[in-house]
Amino acid sequence: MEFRTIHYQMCGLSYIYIIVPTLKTRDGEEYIDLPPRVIDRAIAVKIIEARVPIRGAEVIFLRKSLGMTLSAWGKELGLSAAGVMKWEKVPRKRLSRVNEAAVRAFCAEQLAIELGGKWSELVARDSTPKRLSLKMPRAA
Amino acid sequence: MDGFGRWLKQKLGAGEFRLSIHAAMRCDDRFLTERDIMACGKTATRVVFQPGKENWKVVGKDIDNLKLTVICDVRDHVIIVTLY
Repeated sequence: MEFRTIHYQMCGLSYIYIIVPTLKTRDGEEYIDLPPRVIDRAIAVKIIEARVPIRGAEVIFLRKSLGMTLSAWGKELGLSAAGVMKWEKVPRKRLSRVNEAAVRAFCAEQLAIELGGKWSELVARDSTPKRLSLKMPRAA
Repeated sequence: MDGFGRWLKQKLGAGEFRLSIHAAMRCDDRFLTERDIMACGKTATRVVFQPGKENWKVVGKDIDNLKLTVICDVRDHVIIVTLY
């Protein structure tokens, strides 16, 4: 087994790089030796903890990685499915600071991570990072 | 759908699969997560073996109920999603 850095473009977020254990099958197909849920969760946690700005793109990824439909997500945030879709239709547009804080607080609770309740801890930093690297653990 | 197809569908639906490096690095604007592939397994209506390519095509729906097709290899008892 070896660790490799991969530009994880499958998730749709262009700045995500993951360092993962990989294996090869007997006929040479290389694959990530981790359940994808471990990767999705690590990315979601990083987005929340690193205070990455929440744009439509992050909303789609966070919602899906939490296994929520448009209507389930909307219900939690007091929006209609159409309201959520409106955010998601513009992947590069940042949410308002109020909505960003609400999404971050909601996701933190869903992911069972501790966040401070201060405004400065809930709103994002100024810009989307060019690169965010995450090292994953070895498979159990 | 034969017995192997049902087994594959059940395994995908339970999240018991891995991603090929090729699939993980592929640029995609659908923001695919494990949950989408699981949903595809759970909702799959067709699981077809592709002779020549020696892999399986699974046709189902993603978490948002949109059509999703995933290609799986089964090697060394591991299900590897190679393409979507």
